[in-house]
Amino acid sequence: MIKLLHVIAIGALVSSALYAYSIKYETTLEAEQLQKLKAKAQRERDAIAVLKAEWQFLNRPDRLQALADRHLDLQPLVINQVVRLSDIPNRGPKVDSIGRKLEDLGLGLPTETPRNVKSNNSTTPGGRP
Amino acid sequence: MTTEPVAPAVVAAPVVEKPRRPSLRAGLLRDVFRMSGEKSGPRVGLVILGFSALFLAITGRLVALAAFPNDQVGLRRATSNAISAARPDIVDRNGTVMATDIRTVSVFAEPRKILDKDEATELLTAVLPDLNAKELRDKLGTKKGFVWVKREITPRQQAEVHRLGIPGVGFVPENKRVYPNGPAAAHVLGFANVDNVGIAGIEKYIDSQGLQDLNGAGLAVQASDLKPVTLSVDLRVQHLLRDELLKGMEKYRALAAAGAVMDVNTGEIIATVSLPDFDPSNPVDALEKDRINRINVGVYEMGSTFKALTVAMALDTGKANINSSYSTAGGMMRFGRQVIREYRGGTGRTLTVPEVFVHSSNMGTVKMALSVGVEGHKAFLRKMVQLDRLQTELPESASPIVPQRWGELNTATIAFGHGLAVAPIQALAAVAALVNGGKLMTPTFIKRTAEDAEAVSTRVIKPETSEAMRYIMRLNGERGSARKADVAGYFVGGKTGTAEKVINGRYAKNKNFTTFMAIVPADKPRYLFLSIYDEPKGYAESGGYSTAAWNAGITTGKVIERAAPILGLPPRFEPPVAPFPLMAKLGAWGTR
Repeated sequence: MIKLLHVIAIGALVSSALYAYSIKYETTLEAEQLQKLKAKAQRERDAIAVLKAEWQFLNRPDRLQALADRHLDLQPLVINQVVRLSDIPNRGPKVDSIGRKLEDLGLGLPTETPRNVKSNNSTTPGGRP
Repeated sequence: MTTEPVAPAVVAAPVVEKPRRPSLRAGLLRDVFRMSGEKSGPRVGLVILGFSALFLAITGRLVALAAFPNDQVGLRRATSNAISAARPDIVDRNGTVMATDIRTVSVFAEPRKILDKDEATELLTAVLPDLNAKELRDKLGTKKGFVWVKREITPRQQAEVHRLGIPGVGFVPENKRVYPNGPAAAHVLGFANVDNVGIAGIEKYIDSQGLQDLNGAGLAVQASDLKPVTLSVDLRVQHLLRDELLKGMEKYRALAAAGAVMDVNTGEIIATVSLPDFDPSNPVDALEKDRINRINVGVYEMGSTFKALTVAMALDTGKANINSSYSTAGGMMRFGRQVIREYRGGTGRTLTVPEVFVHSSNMGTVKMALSVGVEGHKAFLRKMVQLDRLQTELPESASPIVPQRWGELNTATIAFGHGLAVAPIQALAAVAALVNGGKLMTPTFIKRTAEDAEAVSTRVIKPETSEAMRYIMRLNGERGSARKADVAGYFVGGKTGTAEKVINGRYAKNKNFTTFMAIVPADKPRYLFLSIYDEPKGYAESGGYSTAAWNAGITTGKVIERAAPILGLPPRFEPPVAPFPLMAKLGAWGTR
């Protein structure tokens, strides 16, 4: 009886030691993982800070104005370009001016499109000579 | 044989007994080394003591290790007072980044651990060519535990130094302050040095708010822990103000220019520019004399813009009402040997208060100031913070130049803005109080709400006087000298000011200091605009004139036109209905 108790006790001791060892090992592993992730997060934060600074550096008003002056033909907004909705005249009747012009030139006929072309060798839509 | 040695012991025993009592320590020692069991008490005690000491030492060390878990204790201590600390970001009122920290790497060396110092010097200078070899060798020759090799190197340089593999050379991550917007708002931001300590402007203000104490205690090393500082400045308005002033400075060939936009209801400075300026990222020329912040640190005679204060004083003290009239006959006044003249002879007519303002009559304003008297004038100007240093968040400030002995002549000249030199920000604060209903508030560079501003404001003039001031400024914008800034749709009011510069103690006739103040919109002001030029020259379209309307006035008009849509002021298509009810009721000049 006492022998059995001893065996159980020793068994419990060994298994608890094993358990404690594995727990400790896992903890170390997790701690390492945590440290790695923390370092990674810090690197990301630093990178974000650099990118933010760079974004603002590229978007600084002096540079935008210089680029706009060089590449855009926009003009500064003048106050008298702002009008009220009620001052805008009503829209006139809809006129298809391009269509009318084509009509006048005799080009108003429907173009030849692949759908009504029988041969397969042409895929380009449009008129043919 | 055996009894013989015993006998002397027995005989000797009483003899030995005598010295034994005085030497208790010797007895204790003897007990420790005695082999018999019954007297082992002291020996056990010694062992207990020894083990207790040992365990105490182990416990103490464990506690120490648990409390300071860093294994780089020595290095950290060496770098903690050398490394640049994190600083909070500075953002403008819309959250755009004005100043931020980025992470860089600095190389350090531990001279005690470097084996071959000559070789280390050679290798390091090969990788970092801009290092001075001799200086570096001297640094490595010292017995210090820690020296900087080079601050803030590039990642590529870091990799190269790393590849050298010199023992005793390492890297520390550091924070570097960057100002991505270049010279925009340089005077407000100030700058920080290589150790990230604020040297000027808001940067210095942040440090004075306790940041450096935090760093000294080893706290707050991450910028993400610190709340960003939100300025009252709007970067877009700041840029366009600078842009217009730069253009103006070139066109009018002025020595210097300055400008500001202020929210009159909160006292916030929306933009402030002083040209020439500097780039806070590279502040080598920031301390040159002509780079000062003219709005805060320069003191100037503000010229006719000061007349607004005189008129307000006369109206508020009840010495005049809007319909009082002043004779300007003769075009000049004598004070002993001094003569005060009207500008270009004046009108010679009798002028009402609004006319005095619109024609910018020196005589009219002198008479108003004299009716209040010297003491009353002084008291009013003191109340409007024109006689004392005005302190904002920016550490840079200047005291106004007040006459030592203030007589009638001083009151007369100060009435039209000569003889008292104030910082433009003081004039801004005063004019804002004149038009916002009479509440004086210290201008601020940190964002705040109208309620917070209300709490720190003091009433200096009556709301009725404020309405009269708005009315005469609008009148001046409509038909007076401020017409150049009357942008259609914004109901602008304003006042020009042209002061002759003092050169060698005399007023120089052809060297002007021109100022222009405008309020938008005049019936319910929200923003106050200021432009200043130092020694502008006349040009072809101005017919050679270099007075304020022809330079500062035009610039202010352009600034209003560009800034108003950004600031959320919608243009109005009809003039406001009954903008000045009280003035209309009193039948003031110009209402009919």
